Amino acid sequence: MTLTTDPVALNDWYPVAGLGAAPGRTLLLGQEIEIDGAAVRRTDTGAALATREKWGLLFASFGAPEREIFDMAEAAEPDRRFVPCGWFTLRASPLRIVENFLDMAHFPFVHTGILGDEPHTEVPEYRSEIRRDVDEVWATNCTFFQSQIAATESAGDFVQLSYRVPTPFSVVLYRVCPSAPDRLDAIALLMQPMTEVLTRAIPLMWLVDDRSSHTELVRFEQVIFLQDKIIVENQRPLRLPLEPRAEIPTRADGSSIAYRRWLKEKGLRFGTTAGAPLAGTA
Amino acid sequence: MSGWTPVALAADLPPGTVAGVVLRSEEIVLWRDGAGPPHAWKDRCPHRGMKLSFGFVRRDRLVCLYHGWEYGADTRCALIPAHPDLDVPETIRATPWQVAETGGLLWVGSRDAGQPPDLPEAMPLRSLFLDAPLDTARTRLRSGGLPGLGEVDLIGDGPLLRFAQGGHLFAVGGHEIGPAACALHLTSDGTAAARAALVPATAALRREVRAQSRGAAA
Amino acid sequence: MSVPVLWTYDLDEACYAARLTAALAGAEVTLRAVDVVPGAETGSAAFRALSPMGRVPVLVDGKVVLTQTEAILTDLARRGERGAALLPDTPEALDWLIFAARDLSAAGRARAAALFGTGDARAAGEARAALLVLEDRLTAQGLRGAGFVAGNTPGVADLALFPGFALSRDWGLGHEAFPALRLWARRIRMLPGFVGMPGLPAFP
Ligand code: FES
Ligand SMILES: [Fe+2]
Repeated sequence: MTLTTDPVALNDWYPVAGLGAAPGRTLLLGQEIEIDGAAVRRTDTGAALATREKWGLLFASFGAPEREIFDMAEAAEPDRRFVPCGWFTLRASPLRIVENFLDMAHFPFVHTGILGDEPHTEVPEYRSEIRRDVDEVWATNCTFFQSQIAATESAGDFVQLSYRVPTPFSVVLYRVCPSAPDRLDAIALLMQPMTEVLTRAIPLMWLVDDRSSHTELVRFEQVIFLQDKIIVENQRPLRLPLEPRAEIPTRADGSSIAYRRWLKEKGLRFGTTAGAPLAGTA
Repeated sequence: MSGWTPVALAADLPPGTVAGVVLRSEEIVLWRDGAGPPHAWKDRCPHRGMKLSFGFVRRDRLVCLYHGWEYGADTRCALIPAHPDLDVPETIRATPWQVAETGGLLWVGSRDAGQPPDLPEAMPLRSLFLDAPLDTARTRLRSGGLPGLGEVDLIGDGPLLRFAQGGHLFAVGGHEIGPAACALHLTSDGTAAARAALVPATAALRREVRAQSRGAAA
Repeated sequence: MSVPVLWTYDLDEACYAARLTAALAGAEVTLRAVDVVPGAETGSAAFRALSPMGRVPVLVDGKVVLTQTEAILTDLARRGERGAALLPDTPEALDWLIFAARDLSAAGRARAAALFGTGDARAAGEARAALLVLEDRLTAQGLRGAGFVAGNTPGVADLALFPGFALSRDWGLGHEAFPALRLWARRIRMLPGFVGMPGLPAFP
């Protein structure tokens, strides 16, 4: 296991531990690192990594990122509930996980009875774009029929969603809040890419919800997340193909098409089929 | 070696079910529609690459678990649920292998495999998965049959290894999973109860082969 | 009979076995979600007062508190109107129930290691070995025309064993080499009242 040489991946911030976690070792971009308090070091050379603290997490970078960690405006709103949902290891490419998070067409099949149900399988037209001014991918005007749209709701309705990809390894969902229709719930999924096909994913939520218990909120998100695990661990190839003809997208995959194009423009290789050759399943 | 390889016992794939198999590191999905004929395809949905062996059979179509795309027995994608009114282009297809059912086994072949073998019916015993190269397993079986059953009488070597031992007739097809893993698909004569009584001997073979290949590796 | 409280965590396979047993037996329970990850609620003083080993599931009915999964499954079967047939009332049924508790418990540890990084490097190998033994058993059972681990109807032992196999892909063990278990798992999924869990593909 060695550190990737991909400059795009190297020059970004990644969560590596919760603040105040016990000292320990983990992997980041193929390299073993050691975390001790707020310090992060490579275990092979002892070199220190740049670090930041945000949202109760310790972030690190091997390189010199041009940008700071992206902002979540919702984190500054005092009446929101901040709900971190834990750390989960998946044997999957972080990019496949982002793409799965962007995808609505799987709701009735993978999150049956929660985020969707047959026969309500249609993905209505939505807009996806690479926003050049902020260098992010966005999908807006997304709607989908959901039978149970949040922990607080039991009846089905069309949900209004927007998706934001602020960095190649993170993704945010904004959802019109069922209990306060003029505000948006925000759910972010951050990634610690351990190797190209091993990822720790960290769901964080900033919610407008004063009814549900903390345990209920965490549970709702974790169930959905675990349902997706079986998908992203069993896509072939495991790493994300960026060449347009490798897979067959439809209109419903507009956000995934924009995301892949954006990654390709950036020249990202880590976690894609253009990365270093993999032993075993490519 | 012919272009056909046995990859499962026919009895282990009842109508309406799906199974994943690995042949020389290629992932293959086997499924049977309600009417009975088996299908063998590359274990990968052309849409977003999900393994089709995680899917399910519905109305004689194989349905992908991820977004519910439905593939008919002719490999064509017949429904994309995200766009229910779309006439699916006929170029969207699963990638087929050739498949045949004979001798109580399911066989897959590449496109140029020629005629599949034609074998007499046989009763299922089990598929035995071994952590050893196929050659090692075959050699071991040829020399000693199943542990504890006595003398082995080899009866010729066609597409299957056939032998008599302990009053039973065995026909065994082997398939390579990878360099150090294989499966033996065993069929036998006799009543179901007699075959059930042979299961411990097959488990003993698995333990022996593992001990042997550990020894070889050490 | 009063309605017991089942303390459960959705992502835990033993809790799932309890919910599955309750559903198949038709036993009424009140579910109480425990924030195991990331809340570590099972380590709290309040929870330890209930379950000194700090484990889910826990089944509570008044003063009676059960903390061992197999005891919970058996009690739930006893409570349900359809549960009598599930009870482990033969020596073999009890033997396989204990196999689930002892030998196949490695599957739960392997899954926790894979999912939460709790690091139990040996568990996956032990769990695979136990599943091979179970595969041998269900192969022989299948040939005898008995579809379940200790007979031709399902029992608590089957339900205790089921998650360890059904969720094995969570810790990297595919189902390709287990044809008898695949067919057995399918028989369990088709039982009336079957409920799933995240990580099991949800077939319609
Ligand atoms: S990957 Fe199979 S339907 Fe989308
Ligand atoms: Fe999902």
